[in-house]
Amino acid sequence: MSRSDNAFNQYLDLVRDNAAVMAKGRPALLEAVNKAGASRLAEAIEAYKPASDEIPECRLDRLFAPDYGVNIARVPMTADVAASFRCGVPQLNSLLAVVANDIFRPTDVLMRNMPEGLTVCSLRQVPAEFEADAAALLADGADKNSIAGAISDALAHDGIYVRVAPRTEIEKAVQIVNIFNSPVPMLTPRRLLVHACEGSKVKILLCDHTQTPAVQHLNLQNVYIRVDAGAEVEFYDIEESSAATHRLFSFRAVQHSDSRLTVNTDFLSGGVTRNEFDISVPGDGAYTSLSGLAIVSDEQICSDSVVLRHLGSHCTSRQIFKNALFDKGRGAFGGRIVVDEAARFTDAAQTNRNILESPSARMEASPQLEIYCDEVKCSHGATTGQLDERALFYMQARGIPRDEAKRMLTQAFMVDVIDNISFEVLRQRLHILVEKRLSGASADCSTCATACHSQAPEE
Amino acid sequence: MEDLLKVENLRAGIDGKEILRGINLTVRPGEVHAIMGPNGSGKSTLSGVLAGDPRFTVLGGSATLAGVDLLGLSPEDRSHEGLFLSFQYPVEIPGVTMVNFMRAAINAKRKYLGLEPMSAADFLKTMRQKRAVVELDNKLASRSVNEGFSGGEKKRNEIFQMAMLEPRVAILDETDSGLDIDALRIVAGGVNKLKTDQNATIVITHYQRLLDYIKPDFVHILYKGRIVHTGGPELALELEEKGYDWIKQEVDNEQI
Repeated sequence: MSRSDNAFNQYLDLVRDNAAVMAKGRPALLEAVNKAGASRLAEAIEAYKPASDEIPECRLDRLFAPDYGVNIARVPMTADVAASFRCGVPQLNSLLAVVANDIFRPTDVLMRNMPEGLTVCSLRQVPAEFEADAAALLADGADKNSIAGAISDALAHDGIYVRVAPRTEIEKAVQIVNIFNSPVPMLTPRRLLVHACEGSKVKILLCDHTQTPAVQHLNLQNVYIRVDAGAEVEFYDIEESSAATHRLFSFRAVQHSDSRLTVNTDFLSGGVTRNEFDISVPGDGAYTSLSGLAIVSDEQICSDSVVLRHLGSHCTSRQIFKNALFDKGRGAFGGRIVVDEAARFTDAAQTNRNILESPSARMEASPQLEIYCDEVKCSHGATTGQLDERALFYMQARGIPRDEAKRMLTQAFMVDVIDNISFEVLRQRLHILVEKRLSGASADCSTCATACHSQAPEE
Repeated sequence: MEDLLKVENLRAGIDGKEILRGINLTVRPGEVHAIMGPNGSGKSTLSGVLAGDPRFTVLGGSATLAGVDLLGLSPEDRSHEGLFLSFQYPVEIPGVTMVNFMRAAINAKRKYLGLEPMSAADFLKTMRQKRAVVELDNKLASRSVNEGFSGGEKKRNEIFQMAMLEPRVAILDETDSGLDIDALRIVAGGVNKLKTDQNATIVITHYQRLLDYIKPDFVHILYKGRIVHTGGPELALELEEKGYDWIKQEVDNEQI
């Protein structure tokens, strides 16, 4: 590939040409990440080949091709969105943090109510006692095999570090709201590092919002979670963004013995979304739950891929992903479960079910099992079909209009993914949100389930 | 008296095969009609075609409900106009609760009639009253539609829905199949309680048994897609005694 038509070189040039700007006020922690990222990027560009089975729009060279601006000079958002953002629903009562484009803004709510044993801070301001921990998470969590991981590391200038001290249970959810607000096309590198120390418990909710829906945006989000022995982490991710938003979401986690990790990802609207989950379970006796739903309409695209590596023994994992595709919506699900030689008595199950609600909708599913150990129980299944015509006629015969019957059946199809959510307030909210989405209500902040709403900044 | 349901020379088929070959049937308010006939005679096709089951194709003829052309309406609008079909095999709908299902049905009808949606309190009160008609357990209301219901519960649930929707014409398609004698008594009792001089019921059945509980005014015999005999309640008893062979012979001889 020649240099001029290569989508990735612009980022390499950018970091090379702006070394001095990026160095300004940068902590050693991020300097190391930037340097490692830049050196991997040069090699990765040479080696890049798109996978043959990808949805073309989800190919990395396509996602990175537009001429996005990158905020390496760390210019804050024009309006002080972080200050005017607040959670409008008291029941959720979360510990709210905002990422304004790519810059972390702790809210007063968070700072005033930070529980004992919880640290939530910018990667630019990690307390000295946790610097080594944050550096280790950054290194372990680096996505070393992907060109996106290299770009993300090369451009990283901020991020969130969350640490839950050993045997500490954080009752309120830590809610991180990503807000995009820019007059010009922009790539926002976003990073979240979570360390749940031994025996701790925490819930994290990540929401994507866009305040300038017509502006092209690449949301380059990296999440890395380390779940120590006996710890429990629930992670929820809700995307409600615009058709001009492209999202490249890399979620990586490592689970130690007797830990529990619950991950739920919900695509309610967006443009092109590529979600990648990579979870390694070296510990014994751990439990992993992964679930997701996607309502894909218009010309939206949502692609989920999961790699779950069972390395320790006596572990259980459950996966359920459901997609409803309307109009010209396209979806993909790639699910791979790897059971290592040492992973005796693994009990792993994966389900992917999809409904095509229009003749022009498309879905590709490829579940895979790689088993290197005999004493395991593994199952996987993928189905793609249409709504049950007998059920539709039965409902119509009772007077329910066909469109409403379809909506009810689609919602019913999703119900087990939603009911799987143990975070009750979110579960109830998601039921309402999915119903609204299916009845064609526009997906914006005012209808968002998480009900954080921005207010116009006061003059 | 004005005709409630009028079916004239109705012809319909499935997958290119003609099953109904010219049905004529007139039902007036306050009447109970029984349609009997051997397997494959077209009984369920007739109920499906009247309700708008998309599996069937109408080939000719007409069907009107209180003067409104049924065949041109969607299944939901036929329901709103007052037609009710109790399914031979009620469909299970996992994930949709009976309460939500019924509320959607009631409010869709009210919208069609230009009425405001029913208030939550009124709706729950109506549910409670109508459940009593067929002694339907309250627990079933919070469960998914027909999911995990026994055969008897499914049929009682059909009559409960009929009670909720208050149709002008109800077609009960083999409502007695799969019912034990107690369930049959409850279901038939429910149907009788819902009978007024304004509405009408069409009972489709194989056996005379149900007609001991739901007394028909007219009995029609359907054979090879046509109503070949119409009589009073005594015709059902005659069938019970002699079977269908004499009817088949009579018709088949005529055709020769």
